[in-house]
Amino acid sequence: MATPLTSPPAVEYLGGTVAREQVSLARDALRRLRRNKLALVAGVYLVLLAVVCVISLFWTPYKPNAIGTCQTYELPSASHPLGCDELGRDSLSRLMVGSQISLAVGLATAFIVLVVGVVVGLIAGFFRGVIDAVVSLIINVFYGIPTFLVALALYVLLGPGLINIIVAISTTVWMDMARLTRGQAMSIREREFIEAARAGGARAGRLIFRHILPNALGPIIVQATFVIPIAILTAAFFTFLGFGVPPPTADWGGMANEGLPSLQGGFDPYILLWPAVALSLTLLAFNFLGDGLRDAFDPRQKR
Amino acid sequence: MFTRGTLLYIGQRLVLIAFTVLTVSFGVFAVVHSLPGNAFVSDRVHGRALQILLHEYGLDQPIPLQYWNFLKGAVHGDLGVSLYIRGLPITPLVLRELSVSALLGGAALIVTIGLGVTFGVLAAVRQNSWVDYLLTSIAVVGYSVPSFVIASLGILVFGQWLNNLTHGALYYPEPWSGTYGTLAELSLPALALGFYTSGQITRITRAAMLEVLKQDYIRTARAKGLQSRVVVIRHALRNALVPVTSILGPTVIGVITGSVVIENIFGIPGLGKEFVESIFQHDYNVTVGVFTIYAALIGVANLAVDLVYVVVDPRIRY
Amino acid sequence: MTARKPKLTLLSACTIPLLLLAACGGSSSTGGLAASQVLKFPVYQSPGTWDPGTADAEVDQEIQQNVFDNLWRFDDDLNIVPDIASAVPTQANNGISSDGLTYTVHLKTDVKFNNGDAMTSKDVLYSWNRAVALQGAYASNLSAIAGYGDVQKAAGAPPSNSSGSGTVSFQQNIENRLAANDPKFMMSGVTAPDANTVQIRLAHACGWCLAAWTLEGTTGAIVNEKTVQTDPVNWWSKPVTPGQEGGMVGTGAFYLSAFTAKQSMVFKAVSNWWGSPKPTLSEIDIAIHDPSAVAADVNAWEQGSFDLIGYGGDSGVLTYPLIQGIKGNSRFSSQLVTQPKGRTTWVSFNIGYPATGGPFLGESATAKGLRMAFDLAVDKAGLVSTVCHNVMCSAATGGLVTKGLVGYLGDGKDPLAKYDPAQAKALLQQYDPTGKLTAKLKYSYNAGGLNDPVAAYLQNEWQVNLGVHVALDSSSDASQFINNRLTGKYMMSRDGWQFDYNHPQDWFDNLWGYLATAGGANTSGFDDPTFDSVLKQADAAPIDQALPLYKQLAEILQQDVVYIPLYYSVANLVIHSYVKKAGSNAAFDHYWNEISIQSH
Repeated sequence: MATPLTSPPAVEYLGGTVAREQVSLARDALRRLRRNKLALVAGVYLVLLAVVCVISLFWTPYKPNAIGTCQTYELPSASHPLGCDELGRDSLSRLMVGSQISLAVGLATAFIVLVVGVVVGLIAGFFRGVIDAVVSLIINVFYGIPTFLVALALYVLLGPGLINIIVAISTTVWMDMARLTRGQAMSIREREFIEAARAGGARAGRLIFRHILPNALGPIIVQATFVIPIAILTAAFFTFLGFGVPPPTADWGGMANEGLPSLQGGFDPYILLWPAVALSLTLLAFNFLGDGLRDAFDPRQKR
Repeated sequence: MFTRGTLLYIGQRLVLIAFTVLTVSFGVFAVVHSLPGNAFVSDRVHGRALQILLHEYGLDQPIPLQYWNFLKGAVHGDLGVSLYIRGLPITPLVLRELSVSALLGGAALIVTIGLGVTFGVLAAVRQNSWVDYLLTSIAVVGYSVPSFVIASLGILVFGQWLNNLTHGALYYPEPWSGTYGTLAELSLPALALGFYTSGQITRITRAAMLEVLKQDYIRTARAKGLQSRVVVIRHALRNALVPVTSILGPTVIGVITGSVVIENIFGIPGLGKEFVESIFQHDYNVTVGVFTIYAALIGVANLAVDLVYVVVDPRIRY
Repeated sequence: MTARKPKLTLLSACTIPLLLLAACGGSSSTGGLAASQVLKFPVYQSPGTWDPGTADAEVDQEIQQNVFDNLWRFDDDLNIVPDIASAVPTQANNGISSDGLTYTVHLKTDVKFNNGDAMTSKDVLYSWNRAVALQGAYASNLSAIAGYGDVQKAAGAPPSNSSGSGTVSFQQNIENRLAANDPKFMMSGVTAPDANTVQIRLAHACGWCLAAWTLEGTTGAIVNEKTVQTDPVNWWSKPVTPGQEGGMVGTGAFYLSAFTAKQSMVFKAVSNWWGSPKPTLSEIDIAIHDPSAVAADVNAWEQGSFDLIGYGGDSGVLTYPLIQGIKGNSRFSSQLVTQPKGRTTWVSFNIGYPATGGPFLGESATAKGLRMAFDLAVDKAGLVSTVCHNVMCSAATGGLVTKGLVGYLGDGKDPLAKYDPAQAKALLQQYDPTGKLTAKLKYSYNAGGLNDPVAAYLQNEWQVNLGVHVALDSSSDASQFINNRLTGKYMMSRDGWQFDYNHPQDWFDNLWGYLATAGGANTSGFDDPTFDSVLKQADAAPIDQALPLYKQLAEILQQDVVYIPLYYSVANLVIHSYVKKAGSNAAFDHYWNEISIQSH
């Protein structure tokens, strides 16, 4: 690899500086994140959860939907560490498989929101004018309504199914991301290096994706991390209210819903307990991780 | 107190609220009416009997016309009739349920703000101590652990185990009685709901307090020998509450959203339970009516919070 | 309204959110009547309508039967006994003509509506003609009467797209025409020779009509014209104020005194009621609760705040954990009442709706063989023990007409109730050796209650015993599900029937064959000329002659493998021992006017 003989043009140079700042910021952030013990524990838990999720795709102690692997309402034992549910299905196997739905909903929603929210926010924040006015109006309307209920109504309309849950939730949580990105884009586009790049003849697309986006990435990543638990929680609410993924698919919200009658009279609390604990831990982990990331990317806000 | 600019701002906001309510009510109207199925069909109601019912309640008309009829009534405060309890006017029903939800929501807001501010102040004053870590962790638990988990475990512990333990002498009473329940019946739902939304308030209060405690005038006050508690309460908290008001809007929305789940778990006859029920029952007018009320409520709540903001922070002008 | 207890409220406000409650002590029964005769219980559904002309739900009939009367009623053992009529007509007492087509009904002379109006034969004519014109769910109970079709034609299908304002509504129009004595709105077959006699002439012989006319809360019930006129659509939801016109007025022993929608209803005994037995209870307080509150309600019942749980058509509401809890409690275990209900649940195959397709369609050997394979692969006894824990339901081994009802075939008499996985596997091998036909099967059902665990159980049985994966098509929306089922948009579907009156016609007319098809209710799409002709014969014959014919119909369905029998429903109620005569039979709760509260 040869060292360039001529110095790069000004624009590229500025871009390089930005990129280098980004790298050091990311490295800095990672260091701060590692110092945050809670975020670290959360991260480890999530990695473990991901491993369990992958394993459950290929192997579970019992078939998750097989009836009669044990007695109905069987209490935890050596062969069934978490006991069995009201139909005699192994709770551990179902809990493992249930992670698939939660993670799928969380990650897919975060991805959709990331793409839609960032693109809409960048365009609105960069171009301003009519586009911005329309986007802002839509965002404002969405802020004025109980989005959970809209998502619920939408989901009922779309019909039960994993993809429909993701679509319904995404439709109602993208605007936080859009608003954030829009604000970032608006402030970054006024910075000097953008002016310089523009003077150097850079097109809008290049300005947005090479210069503005990398500089807004920190807050966007943090926001995306927070979308995951919101999506998981909303989906769990749906299934808990009886609008869920069709049975016998094991998902934590639905399992908690099924376990609720068994709680009556303190009959068998375990059926509700396991999915409730798994769900709570997962949401906690994502929130702690999000907090950690936010602190890491924003050195001004000290713990 | 309110400048001309502020009044103009209020006007703009009211227009936006009206626009939002209208858009949302039509959207929900279109959605619920396009759902397959209807309020009447059953093992015994089909064919001719079903057609007659659909006609009697105007459901065989085009949706825009139905919406127009709904709007005409809604303007006069008439949300139409229930399709599930056939022919029953729903405005009184929905208003009663709104008052129940308002009671629960109000109680939950008190819990939220009380818990959130107390925790936030304590955490800030004892920054980086175990108190701080404990309280901030509780805050995250508050908005991480689903409210239905907290609620069901609460019912198990206070409703069942305590009942068994004290042989029925002391326990959380259920079911909800009458329209407004009793204070004891309200307590657990309000706690479960309030806890859920208190986390963000704790977080904001703590951050604002930390900011304020570093300010010069607090240092001055302390240097002048004022007692720490006095400083915190009289000087710091007042200024720290300003950012807290800024998230009251989202908090109100959080309470309204959360109440849907809480009301369903505790069987509280409020608007949230009605909403879910009406979707299941295809009681279109109720769904749309409840939703319209929610949208109007949130709009007005957000506006009110903004105005409170103007009052508490003189620097803000619109 | 619940009385507030200020002291307790104060206490709980000061302490933690707990309420101090003194349990109702187990003082020994003294045998006499309690001072307070107020019966309190929760129900878990709001009423849909209590108007007998349009009512369609059993939960509503449980209330209506105490407010309205028919000419006859079912006693607690489901026998037909006189109510407003002075006798049950037979050929022996000259109530029925020798050709079986004319019924002469003498009314009791002292019957009064609870607004004070005397009840006469004109009220019978009004009520029945109105019900026929309204064309509601149970109008067909009166369908054998001469002139039935003419009145429905005159009332007409409602005009479509009328804007509502300015035009008279369908229901208002019927009231107007009846008030004007429009002959087009009066069945030629129902006449009133005098104030206390009604003559009913049938268009064709009918073996089941008397039972259908006796079904309370539906089209045979007698309503008050003056009251209905005050608000033709919504009169039923309004409480009765003595001395004022309007409200839920009937001839029954109780009247609606207060109704708060989705919260509570209060009924009060009619003073100096004409009938017998005279009511002992003075008031019925019913709380309308969400089904999720049932555990709390059981607590409240144990504390004595409720007298019973399971009335009002909600007899399936107690869950297995709750039932086990009550059984394990020595104080309350004896107060658990188990009552088999006249409700059967089965799986319907899509046989007659080609648009939806599926391997079970039609009468080919392959279709029948595959239906048999899927039937034999289900362990029905296992279902009852796994899903119902042998508590919530019993095995349906004696045909679709539930055990205990007229038309039951006898224990183990239904060949489709067998479980034979080897034979099932062999049939599958024979008719679908490649597995192509059964590759994309779906089982459709509505979510809730036992339906979810049943679906999971069925899926597991077919997977294990046939190696066939059947996808579960669950609908949280019951109406959407029923819509799909009625229009044949399914391959296999949860199906079921709760009988109305104790006569096999109630099952066979409504579910299979030409009549069901005409009514848009033939869910399986099964139709067959032999079935139709036997059905016609059976419906016209008196019950003793009809019974073998109905059994023949059941056999036709079995030979054709139209269904997979699953279970008969079992109700579990809790009733304090001091509530005398409370209980229920296969169809209804016992009448309120039989119940009394002993001192306790």
